[in-house]
Amino acid sequence: MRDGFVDGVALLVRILRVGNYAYLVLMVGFLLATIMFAGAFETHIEHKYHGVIEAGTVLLFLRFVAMMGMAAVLPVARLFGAVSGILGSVRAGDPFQVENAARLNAIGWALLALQLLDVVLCVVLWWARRAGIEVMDWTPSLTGCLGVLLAFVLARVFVAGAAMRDELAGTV
Amino acid sequence: MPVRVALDDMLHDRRMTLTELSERVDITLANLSILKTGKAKAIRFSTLEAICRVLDCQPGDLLSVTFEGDET
Repeated sequence: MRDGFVDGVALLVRILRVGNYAYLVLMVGFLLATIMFAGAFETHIEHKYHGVIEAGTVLLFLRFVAMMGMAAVLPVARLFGAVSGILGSVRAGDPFQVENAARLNAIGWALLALQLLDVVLCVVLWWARRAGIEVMDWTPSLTGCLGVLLAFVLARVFVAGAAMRDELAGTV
Repeated sequence: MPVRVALDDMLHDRRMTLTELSERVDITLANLSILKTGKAKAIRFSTLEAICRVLDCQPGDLLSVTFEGDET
């Protein structure tokens, strides 16, 4: 079943999957750079904060943020993998499968993992702000939480849909 | 499944092949084969009506239920 929208989303997901791994490489590279060129980083940090904050503290913060970025790659990869599988089944004209219910569950867990990472980020940013490090503002993501619930609900809808489809497949 | 479909017997009595029935009731051979071999989970009223019209029979002639322990 050809559908321009589905084809477009499938292409976008493919690009985002590559982007996700590129982001992982970037984060690993950044983490390694903070270790290999720690001196240069510390000089830059001391210059920026005029010695008000210890450079080692800021460097520790940067490394932690890089590791959090790396940790986010796995759930995002699982999420895109599941979305890609669902899109494949839609293109094949057979989306109501038990496999898609499992994929939606995987999406729900991936989104939940990202939400938990977001909470950890909130704590880290709070700590960094208290330490005097210039950081971005953090706001809780209510839509993210709703996304988690929606994915789990949709998984159950697909379980029922797959059962109905099986019933229909055996109807003459 | 306790529901038995006597399609094979009825076709035999009428000297009709499954392919011929398939063409006359406008149902795919694959679907009729599923029905004939007892693998179908359900049958639509429209299918039943079409088969009964072509075979000139009643649903009861086509379907029967046998429960465990019943003597046939």
